[in-house]
Amino acid sequence: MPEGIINRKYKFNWDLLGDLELGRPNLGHNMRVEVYRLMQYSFRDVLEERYGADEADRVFHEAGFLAGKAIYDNLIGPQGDVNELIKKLQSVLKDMGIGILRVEEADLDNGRITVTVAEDLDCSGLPDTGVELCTFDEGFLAAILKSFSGKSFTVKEVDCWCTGDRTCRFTAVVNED
Amino acid sequence: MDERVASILEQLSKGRIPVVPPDVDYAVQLARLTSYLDAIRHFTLALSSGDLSQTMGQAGMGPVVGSLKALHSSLKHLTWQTKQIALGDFSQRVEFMGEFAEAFNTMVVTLGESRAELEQAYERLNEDMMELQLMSAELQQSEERFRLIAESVSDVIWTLDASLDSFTYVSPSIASLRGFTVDEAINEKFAQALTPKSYAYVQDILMQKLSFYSETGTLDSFSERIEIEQVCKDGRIIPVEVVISAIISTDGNIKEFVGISRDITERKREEEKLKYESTHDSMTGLYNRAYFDDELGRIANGPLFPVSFIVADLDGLKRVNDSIGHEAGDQLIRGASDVLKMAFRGSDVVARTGGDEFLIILNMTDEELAAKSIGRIRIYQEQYNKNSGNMPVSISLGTATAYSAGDIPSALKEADKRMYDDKVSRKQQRVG
Repeated sequence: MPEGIINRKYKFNWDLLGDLELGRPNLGHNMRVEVYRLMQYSFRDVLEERYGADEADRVFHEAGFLAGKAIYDNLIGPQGDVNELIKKLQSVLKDMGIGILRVEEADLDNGRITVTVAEDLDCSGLPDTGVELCTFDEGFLAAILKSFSGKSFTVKEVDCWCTGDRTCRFTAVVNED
Repeated sequence: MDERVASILEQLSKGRIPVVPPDVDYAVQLARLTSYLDAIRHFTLALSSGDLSQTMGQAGMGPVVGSLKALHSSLKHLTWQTKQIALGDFSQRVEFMGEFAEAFNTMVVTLGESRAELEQAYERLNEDMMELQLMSAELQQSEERFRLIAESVSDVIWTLDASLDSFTYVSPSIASLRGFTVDEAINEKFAQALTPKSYAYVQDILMQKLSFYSETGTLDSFSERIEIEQVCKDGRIIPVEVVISAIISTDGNIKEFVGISRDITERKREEEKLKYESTHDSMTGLYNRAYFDDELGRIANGPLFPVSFIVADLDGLKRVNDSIGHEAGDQLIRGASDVLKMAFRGSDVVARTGGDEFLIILNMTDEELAAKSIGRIRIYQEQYNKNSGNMPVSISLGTATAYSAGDIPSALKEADKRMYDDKVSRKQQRVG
């Protein structure tokens, strides 16, 4: 916590997502993707403006890690092996409209996983800026893998819609502590 | 515009990748473009040949390559999914790939169902195998149990082929029954194991049973307890009781015969002894009253007339018993018995029918021959008395002849009367 900040208003926990049945009886769970992106990129703009792009990336990566852990704890839970984890994660990402997860390599014994996310909530359809954008997703996937295996992973986006690709590709490599 | 540039653009528009001369206008940009297209061409060729290890590398930027990389990614994912399916994960599904996804998923479902059916069949097969193994073990135990029983009992258990020719099993107790080893007994033909008469008898019975079975299909009748004679290794012939049953195969034919043989020599001996004791007088060895009465019945129904009867009564028995004792009396009785045995043939019926009374039946004997028999008794009595010391035998005799069954009672009565006449006459002679 940065020095000088002494109190917290909204320390993240799953309950902060709220009771949607109660709170949105007419509009329900869904909203348009633009709204999600409106919030994300307006946040990113302010963060980049105030702390610079690299720090903004780190903030999004940490936030993604927090979200990934919460998703694992609340929607995925312990799985028997990596294939079951992938199936469950595919199902959650698809059901929540986050993206279409596909696996190119899943060799957990050697600490290497390569996945792609098509129709990614964060970036699919964004202008080609030539820079990978999905640092939130990197943190998200790192948290899922750590929650499942107990090992720390470095997740890197190697292809992104924003670099002209049509699918986001992530490589995950276990950290040798 | 440089005409060479126009030519290069013309070739590019036709899908060719030309060589860009270094001195042409926009040479650097055109060289990058041709290099980019060449990288795409190589990447596409690798994809078309199934080589998914190729990447676009540093040249792989932009939406055109991005679409190819999306295809590359999908193919890699399909490869991974196929490997999972190969490892038995039939829950894999392809999504968002149109008609291909539908066909692929149908194939996986079918494979999964086939695998499940195979696993069920394998499971059933395993269960059947286990059941068979269990049955086999039980059968083995059962066979072992029956083998132990067969080899422990004193009776001989054997099996014989359906043609009644050769033994297929003989239990070890054959050694004590007939003196043969198991090998010798198995190599012996069925016909050799029995006396000819018994073999014919057994064959006759089994043929009757086989015939009955083929007509009625009734199994219960196929068990017979018979007495036969068998030949021992040392040549003796022994009486054997045999129980023979048939083993029927699943197609209803006789598979083989199973038999149990028991030595009944001792039983036969006991039967003979009982029979002898029930028909003979224990003191003299002559026939007894019961046998005499049975013989009378047989004579009455037989063709051996004329039949003569001799009534013999031992004189002075009561006096000897009272004065000297019963032991002396018994000796006197045995003396009279010896005289009568000497006087008659083995086929004649000489019976002790009371304490001092004897009756003799002479088949096909008329009065004249009977009179000769009386004379013979007298001769042997005289001979006996010469050697008997102070215990001489004196027998009163009477005879009569029956010419038919109806005469028998009166003949017996007449013989008895004549015996008394003889007794009185002989007493008078001694007094006189």
